[in-house]
This record gives sequence, C-alpha cells and structure tokens, in this order.
Amino acid sequence: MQRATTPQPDSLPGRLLMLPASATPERALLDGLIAQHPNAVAALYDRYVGLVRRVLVRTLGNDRDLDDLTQDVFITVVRRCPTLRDPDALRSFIVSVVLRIARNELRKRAIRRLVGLEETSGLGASMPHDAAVAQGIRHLYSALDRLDANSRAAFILRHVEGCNLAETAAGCGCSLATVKRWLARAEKRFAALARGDHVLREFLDSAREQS
Amino acid sequence: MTWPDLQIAGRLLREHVAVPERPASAVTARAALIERLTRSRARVHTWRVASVLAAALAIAVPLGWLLHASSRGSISFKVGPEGRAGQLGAYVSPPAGAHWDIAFSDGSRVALQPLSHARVTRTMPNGAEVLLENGQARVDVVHRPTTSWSVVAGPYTVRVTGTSFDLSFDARTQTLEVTVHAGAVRVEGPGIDSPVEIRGAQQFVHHAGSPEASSVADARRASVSPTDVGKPDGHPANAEPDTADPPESSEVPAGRLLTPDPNGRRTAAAQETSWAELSRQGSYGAVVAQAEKRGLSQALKSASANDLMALGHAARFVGRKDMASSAYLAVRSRFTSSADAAAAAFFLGRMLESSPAQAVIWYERYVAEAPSGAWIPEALGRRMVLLRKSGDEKAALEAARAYLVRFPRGPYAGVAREMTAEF
Repeated sequence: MQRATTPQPDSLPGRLLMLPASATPERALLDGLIAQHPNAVAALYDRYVGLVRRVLVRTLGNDRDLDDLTQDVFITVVRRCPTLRDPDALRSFIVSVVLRIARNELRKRAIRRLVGLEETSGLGASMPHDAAVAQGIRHLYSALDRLDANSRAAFILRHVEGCNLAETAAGCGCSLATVKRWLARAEKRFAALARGDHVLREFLDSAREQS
Repeated sequence: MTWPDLQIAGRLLREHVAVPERPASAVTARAALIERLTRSRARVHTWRVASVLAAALAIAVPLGWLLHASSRGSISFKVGPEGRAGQLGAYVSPPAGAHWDIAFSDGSRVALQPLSHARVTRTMPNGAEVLLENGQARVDVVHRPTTSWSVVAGPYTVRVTGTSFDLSFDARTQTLEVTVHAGAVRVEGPGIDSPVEIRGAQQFVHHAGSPEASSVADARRASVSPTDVGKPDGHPANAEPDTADPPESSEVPAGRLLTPDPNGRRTAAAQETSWAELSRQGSYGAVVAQAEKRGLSQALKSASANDLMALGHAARFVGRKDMASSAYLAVRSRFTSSADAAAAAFFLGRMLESSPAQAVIWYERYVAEAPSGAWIPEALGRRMVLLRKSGDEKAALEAARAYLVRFPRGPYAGVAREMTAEF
C-alpha cells in the first residue's frame, strides 16, 4: 500500500487522503495500549481524536453524541488492539473501528427514525453558515440517510476521506469486491434520490459546474 | 468529464462540513477515557448480559412502534388566503402587505410576514420541517406527546415541541431572532456550542456570520420597526439589523438568555456597571444613562475599548446617533490599530449610510484595517450597494464582480449578480 510521507497524522486539513504511517514509534504505543498504560491511552487520544471526530461527523451527518461516540471508539480500540499484529496498521485499525461504530449508530438511528423516535437530523454546530449551502447539505445528508449503512461508510471513506479502493475495503472490513459492490449500489441509489430531489439536484449540478 | 454524483457529494461534504476536531475540553475527555477504561474491565460481563437484553428490547419495542406509526400518514398543509393545497419544497412568499398562513392538518400554523421566503421541506405523521429562508414568521405548534416539529432558519435549527413563538431570520446579516411567547424551543446552529433552550417571554438573538454571538433580551423588545423597510440596499428588512448586531467583543459568550421578572425589571446582572456586560444583557438604555451620569466627555477619555464599543452599540440601538458616533470615534482615536478600532469603522459606516460617500469611506477603512474581519462580506456588500446608489456605476460594477469572486455565496451575492446583469 502506498503511504503518504506526512509526519503528523492529522496535519492534512479535513482529508484523510491515505492512511499514512506516523513518524512516531507505533510499536511502543501499541505495547503501552496493550498494557492499558494511561500515558499510552493519552497519547493515542491526542494523536487520533481529530481523525476520529472528523470521520464520525462526516459519516453520521451530525455531531449529536459525538463525545460519547468518540469515547466508545477509543475504548474499543484499546480493548481490541491486542489482536493487531502490525503496529503500522494502527491508524487503519482505528478507522475501521470508527466506521463500525458509526454504522451501528446509523442503524440505530434508522430504526429510531422509522418508529418516530428520532428527531430530524441536522449538522448542528457543524452546519455551514451560508443558508443555501446549509440547505443543500441537509438534503445531501437526507439522501445519505436513505443509503444502507455499509454503502454510506464506503462512500465516506472513498469520496469524502479520499481513500483508494484498497484502503476503503480495509477500513470497511470487507473485500475489495464487496466494497466495489457497495459503492456501485450507493452510486445508483444516490443518483436516483438526487433525481427526485430538486434542491439536491441543483446543489450537485451547481457544484459540478464549478469542477 | 461528467463527475458521478457521489464524487461531487463527497467534495461538497469535505468543503462545507466544518468538523469540531477536538472537543472543547480535550483534557477532561482524555481523563474520562482513562478512568472509564480502568473501571470498565470489571463490568464487561454485566455489559454482555445487558446487551442481550437490550437487543431483545430493540427488536420488540420498535416493532410495536412500527405498527403504531405505519397506521398514520403524514400531516398535510394549506397555503395562503385561498387555502391552496401545499406542496413539499414549494416556495411560499407573501407579497408586500400580505400575511400568509401555512395551516397544517394537525392544527399547527406558520404565519408568514410580508416578503418572507419559506418552504415546507418535510412532513411526518407527528410534525413537519419548515425552512425559513428569510423574513419573519409566527409559529404556533399544537403540542402532542410525540410532536416532532422543527423550523430551519439558515444555518440554525429551532426544535419545537408545542409552543408559540416569533422567528426572524435575516439572510443578509445571518441574524436569527427567536421570541417565545409560550412553551419552549431549542435552538442549534453554528457558534452555539450546545442547544439553547428558550422559554416563555424570552428572546434569543444570534449572529452566525461572526465569531461573536449576541445576547438575549426580554420579549418586549421583539417588535420590528416598520421603518426597516427600504434599507439602502433595497432588500426587505425583516428584522432590525441594528438591534441584531452583537457587541464587537470577542469575550461575548454564545447565546445568552435574560428573563424579565414579572414586574418588567431586568433581574440579571442589573447591578453590574460594566457597559459591555449591560449591553450583552440588552440594557442599552442603562448604558446610555450611565454614560450621561458619568459625563460623556469623561467617559470617552477613560472607558475601556470594550465599554466604548458597548456604549456605541447601545447608543445606536436607542437612537442616540451622536453619542454612538462619539463612542466609535473615541475607540478609533484612543485604541488605534486595534480590532475594535477597525470594527468601529464598520459601524460608523452603517450609521452614515444616509450619506453614501462617507459610508463608503468608512467601509473601505474597515476592509483595509481588518481584511479578514467578521464583517467583511457585509462591508463589501454594503459598499457595493452604496456605490450603485450614489450613481457610480463603473465602481459599483467592479465591486459587484469582485464580491462574486470572493463571496459567490455571500449575503450580497444575489444583489451582485443582479448588478452585473443589469450593467
């Protein structure tokens, strides 16, 4: 897998791009995490909290329960890191945990929405200031809400975080063929949803013209 | 090349969804994580049992609700004086002088003021989502146990359970005003760290376009002056922009509430002498009175920049333009090169718009002194409009083109496009 040379994992503003190895020794960090040493947990948190929060918000479409979900991710990572063989894969491992938790949360929210217990989704504090853009983003997430959780997670990694297909498959915890199938399904479904939503259609077309 | 929709969607999310990458209290969160890890080792077994029970409940309860929810359809709505059947996403905008109602089948009602722009974007069996793009509305929502109502105003979301409130959103200034008459609402949006609950007889004012957020005053300030119509840019003014301006201090906390006591006296911080604090609470008259009591000339020489800015805002809000000008000018002369001095130039421009040439000069000073300031889109937009008003078509056209390049989706982008097409 090709890796970026960026020394700091979170130095890429707003994009994951690839899953680069950190310049700091991951082996020492992993050993500390396996021993659940507080310093190692603190170092893990400091190094990856930005990545975790960013992928969570972009996947879920809002920042509700963000702090709780962030904690859940780190708890899961620390508990399961003894199963990690390659210390350089820690970042990819964290992304896969984030996506698993986000997918579970999406499924829970879908059920709550189905039975009328879930309030209207919204980005909250993350919403853009421009009213027209904010409206477009709302419709975009409304369409994403109608994708299945796997397709949505694959979409976030591939098209928002900018991972290649192999990295997307690794992050989603599935094979390359499966992730391709998820993405194709997402594309088809999303295109159909966009055709039926004139606000979203206009938003996408306007952005396409600027491409 | 035609980009697939999903690729475009990904780019839009990357560009427009701001992510709070670190929690406000990262140190506390980190400590809580370590503590939770330490405690959780002993509770793993308990959690497994609980998970099985929760899973069983998660299947049983939603099934029950599903059967209940599926038996009901979404509410419908009618629009305007003729009560035409409403369509989702359709544009609703009463003409000048007309008040239109959006009447929902559950008894709820959204009364739009003239020239407001709104759409009903979603209906559900237990509520609806209304988008107020610009203007004012009176919202009356009938309370039911599972009501799910929300009104989206620009970047803000007002969640409603059953209440009556006035809502105003000025798309130009990105200013939201919510005045609750009965019940409670919850406001979320940029710059509001956690949802703000507003209860009866409270007014919430917030400005999205600036890092500062303005305060909340008592509901008696909620009325909108008819003199707002006919602002220099020709845009229908649906809220009093002056009263919506936040104090120009970076210390202002987001979303403050002030509740009047039953006798109409302010109950919070009434004893405070800081003008900045009084101004944040909406006690503009008290600020002006204190300045006069102390002696204006003395105050202008000795007050802090924060207090002088607060005095400028307060005086402007109560119509004492002479005092406001003096305060802003004092900031500029005493605190040269400060952020407050630049902001004072902007507000001097706003006060002098009846003399476009002078206002343009002040706006240009603000732009020069604070090139990335919070009011830049406003200052450049107002300058552009004033240039057109003063008949300098060439300069106005240049300003409009420059505005569109810099702020293609800014508050004055619509006006700028009209001007570039017109000229």
